[in-house]
Amino acid sequence: MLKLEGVGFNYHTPEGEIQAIQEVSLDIKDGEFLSIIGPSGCGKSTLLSLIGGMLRPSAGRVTIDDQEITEPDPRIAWMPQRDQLFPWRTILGNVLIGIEVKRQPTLEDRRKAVALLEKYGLGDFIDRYPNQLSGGMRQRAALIRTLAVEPQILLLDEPFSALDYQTRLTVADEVRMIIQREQKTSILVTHDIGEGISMSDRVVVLSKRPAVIKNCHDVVLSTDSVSPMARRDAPEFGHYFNRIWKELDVQ
Amino acid sequence: MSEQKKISPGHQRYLDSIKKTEKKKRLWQISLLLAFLILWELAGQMKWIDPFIMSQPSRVWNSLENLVREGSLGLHIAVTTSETLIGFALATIIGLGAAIALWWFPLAAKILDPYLVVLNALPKIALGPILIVWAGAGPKAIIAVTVLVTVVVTIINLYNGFIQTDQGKIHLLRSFGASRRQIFLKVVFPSNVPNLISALKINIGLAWVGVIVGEFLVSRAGLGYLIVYGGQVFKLDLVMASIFILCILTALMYYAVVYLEEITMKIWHS
Repeated sequence: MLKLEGVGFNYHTPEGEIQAIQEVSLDIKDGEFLSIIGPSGCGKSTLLSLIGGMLRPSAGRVTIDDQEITEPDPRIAWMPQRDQLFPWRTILGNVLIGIEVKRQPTLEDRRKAVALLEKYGLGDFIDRYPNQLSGGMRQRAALIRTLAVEPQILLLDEPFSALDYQTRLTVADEVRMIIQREQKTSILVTHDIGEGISMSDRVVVLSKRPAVIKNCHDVVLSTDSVSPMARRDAPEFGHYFNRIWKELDVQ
Repeated sequence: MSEQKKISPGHQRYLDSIKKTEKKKRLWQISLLLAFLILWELAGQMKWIDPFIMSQPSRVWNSLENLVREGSLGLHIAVTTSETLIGFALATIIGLGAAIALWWFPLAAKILDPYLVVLNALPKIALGPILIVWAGAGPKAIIAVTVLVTVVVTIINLYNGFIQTDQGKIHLLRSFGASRRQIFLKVVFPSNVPNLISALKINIGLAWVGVIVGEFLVSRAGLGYLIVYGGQVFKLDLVMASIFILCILTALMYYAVVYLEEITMKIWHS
């Protein structure tokens, strides 16, 4: 279980200290899909960096199974805003980069990576380069790169924001299905309310800076589907949407 | 891709028009050169200009023939080319090493910044006489001048490229727990390969400047020597002949780098 206990974070600039995050406490259950929604610039991405051990909190602590996270942890993998695939590496080379950082990839690592790519429809593109793939495929490759290190927890940092609207809906659907099949705990940061509701079991709404938790919504929809597309059609969807919209207080 | 496809008449017209423009361009390029040479020759023959001072193509040609006959042309070319290549290689290696060091130690980069700025602004040729005293009046001094002229720009260009590496990509590697060394080898260096190539392109030009100036200052052989010598004894034909050869050499070396660029870009898949 991933736990945030009174996590706070302050930025320091020569002009002064900026309180970015204040007293954020959260329990994230194994296998849960949690979304964090907040106005832009409220420190959502910073919160992910804190969970991922890329930044140390100024107050409080982040733990996995009661172990404090102080540096990037192999149990956590991060999926960035743009796909960040390296243009000079093949798709397979890109997928293996996380393993390469830890050790020389073995044949077994390669076999597993290839299997993942094949499982999720990129089998024919293993030796291609990122610029030969469509935006949606690139994002899928980026997800597989995240999965290749076999993490327990995925951190998704607005992973669809660089895609056009149509692709965005399809890719969100694909990503959600893949995560469901791989049974990973996931935390999605987004400013898209619909995306948050349709993908998650729970939505956390953050306030403007300094970010505090404004509200938590357990998303219960009258559909069994995990597909975000299908969930958008559920009658309760609009109800959640309006409530979160009001809470975000966008003027 | 290479399948035989039916080309529509419209597309054929488009392809033809590209070819036509290309032909026209070549024709003009060659005609301009020929017109210039003919006019120059004619101006000399008709005594519009004084060929003793202005030289003329036929005299340059004779001068070239003389050099070949004496058997010294090969030597001069070899001396200048080897000095350029050595200076170019040294400057690139030293510049790359220094840029890596600056990236690795950000505090050092901050401390050294004003020194680099001054060194960059300084006309390096001004240090020539000092280098001659230090390195001796010979090829060593020439190579030292070349390195000096070239290395500062290399350091600054490469270092700026390194620090402008996409932070998102660095962040991604850090999230996998990468060390500074891994970040450099797996992201910073590979994403700066195009930058390195453009630095090479600038360097090759600067290396020629360094070598020729170096040869002006101290030398007993080389194209720079021929130019200075020709100027001193008023053999302008010799000066022009040397410049002509220099033109060919610099063009050849520049295109060699461009070719290298094409190959690396293919591997790099930008």
